[in-house]
Amino acid sequence: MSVELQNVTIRYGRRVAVEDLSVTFPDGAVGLLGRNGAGKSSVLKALLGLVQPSAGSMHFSSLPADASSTMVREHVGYMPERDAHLPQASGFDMVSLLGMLSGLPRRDAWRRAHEVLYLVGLEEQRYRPVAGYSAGMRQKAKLAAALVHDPDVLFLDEPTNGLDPAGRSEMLALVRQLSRELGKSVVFSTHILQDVETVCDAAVVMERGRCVAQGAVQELTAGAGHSYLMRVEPSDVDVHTVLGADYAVEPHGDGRYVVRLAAEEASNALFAALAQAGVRVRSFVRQRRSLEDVFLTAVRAE
Amino acid sequence: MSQSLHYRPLACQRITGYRRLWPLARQEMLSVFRSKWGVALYLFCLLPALARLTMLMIMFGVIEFGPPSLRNRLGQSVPDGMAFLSPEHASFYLHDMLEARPGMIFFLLLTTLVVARSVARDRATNALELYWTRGISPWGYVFAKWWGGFLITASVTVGTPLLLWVTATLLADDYTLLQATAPQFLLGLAGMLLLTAVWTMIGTFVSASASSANAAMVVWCMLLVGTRAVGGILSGILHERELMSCLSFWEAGGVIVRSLADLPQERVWLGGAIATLSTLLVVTGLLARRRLAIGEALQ
Repeated sequence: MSVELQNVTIRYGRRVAVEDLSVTFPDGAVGLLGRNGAGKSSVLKALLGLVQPSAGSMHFSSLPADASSTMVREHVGYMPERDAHLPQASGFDMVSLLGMLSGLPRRDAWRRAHEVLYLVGLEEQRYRPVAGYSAGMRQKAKLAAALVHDPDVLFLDEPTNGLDPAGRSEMLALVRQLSRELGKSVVFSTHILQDVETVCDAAVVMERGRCVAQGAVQELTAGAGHSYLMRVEPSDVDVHTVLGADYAVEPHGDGRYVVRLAAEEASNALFAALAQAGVRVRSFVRQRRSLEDVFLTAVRAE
Repeated sequence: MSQSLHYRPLACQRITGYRRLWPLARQEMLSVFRSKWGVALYLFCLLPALARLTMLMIMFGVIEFGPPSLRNRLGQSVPDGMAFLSPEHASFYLHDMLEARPGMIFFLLLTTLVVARSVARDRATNALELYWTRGISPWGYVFAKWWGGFLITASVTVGTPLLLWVTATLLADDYTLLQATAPQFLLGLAGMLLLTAVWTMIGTFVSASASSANAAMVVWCMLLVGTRAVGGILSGILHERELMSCLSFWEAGGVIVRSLADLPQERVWLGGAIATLSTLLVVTGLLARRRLAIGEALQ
């Protein structure tokens, strides 16, 4: 289920949290990137109907345009950023109660609570009070609560917050499985770019309440133009002199060069010119930008 | 079904409307039994009813206790001021719940633990964010919290007098007791039900307005005990006993119930009592409304 926002503005009193935001979250896992205060959580809250946008519209592809916030919440699972649990409740009590509040009959809520707690790996600890859980277990309990009513879309707000490396890796693997094996649409809000690269197919970058970049992760990281990392032999040859001013070449030491071509086809002429000068090309790899580069470029431009 | 994740899609009819709120109300109602201290407190709150039940058993000869003439003496007519000691008067069943001693003490203990902490405790653990992102509204949530608190409190304030009265009518030799006490008692019971609903609603609003569970408990205790102390001092200094009806929130409730059931009471101001409770309900409700604005609560 895709989610579309058109010209959405969200205000808290006089403060504008999100301004004229038009963005589409396609099916699959989508990273919602931005620094603290960029407006990510406000977007999620608006989608859940917890905050009323002062302008613009939002639409879930499989729901009618006039769907009430209650109907939306039945199709959406939300995992809050902050540590949240029900006082005195065990993991099973918490997840089954939240299932019942989402409209599940008691028997179904109980069954689902067992299933999702098993899914997130809390089957052994499900009858222990959540207050006594470790940070990682609490994150898993929140994820189980978000899943209990079998939503089409999951909004995960900083799901790897406070997790150790092993816990983080486990959580990311779980989110990836939810998206790829179970076909859930996941909106993954975070400021950890590496997590998005690991899990998401697409990303939306926000800065000061605006969308500054969006698209498939592959496209975003491909970079502008055709940039390649090339290694040549012999390593002491001056490629710049061999190729002349026709090519933009940047030495990276030890026989390696970054070459920028006007078009992909120009590589044939490059190989021919190097071969003519007796230079062998040992590797020629398209250079990708990291999501961090994409993010910093977009944020600086803003 | 996803084999590796053991995940089955859900296929069931969703529950709608207020039936959705019952699980939350039920959880709130039973929260007192989740700890041994809570269970002990609840049983402690039943002590006055147990004492009255024992009195009933002795009076009706179920339990042989004391000199043989005790039953006859207790069963004889008593002066108006001592009506609460005779099962032939409705006061016998309602007295403990309407008086500051012991009623207010037990009411205060139970509601401080259950009602006054209910919303504030959820706010402290960020549970509001979990609840409100489900298919229930903030006011639906408050209603469920009140519902649960009301049921557990009413089990003491309404349930125990009703149990005593039913026991007495069953133990009585004929229908005389039933006929003599039913009109007054049932009106009094309806009044207790209404009063419990209002009090627990005020308690829930206090909980929703407070910054922490401890603050809510302190404010709640001050509303009950503090206003009664102030009312007692002022009415004593000014020699105006009627002032108690509107200065003490606890007394205000008692005055309304006694007036409704026509139970004996001296120098009260019914209008002042109604105004006091209504004002408190509206003011705490407005404070709760302000504090429960979704944007503010989920910052």
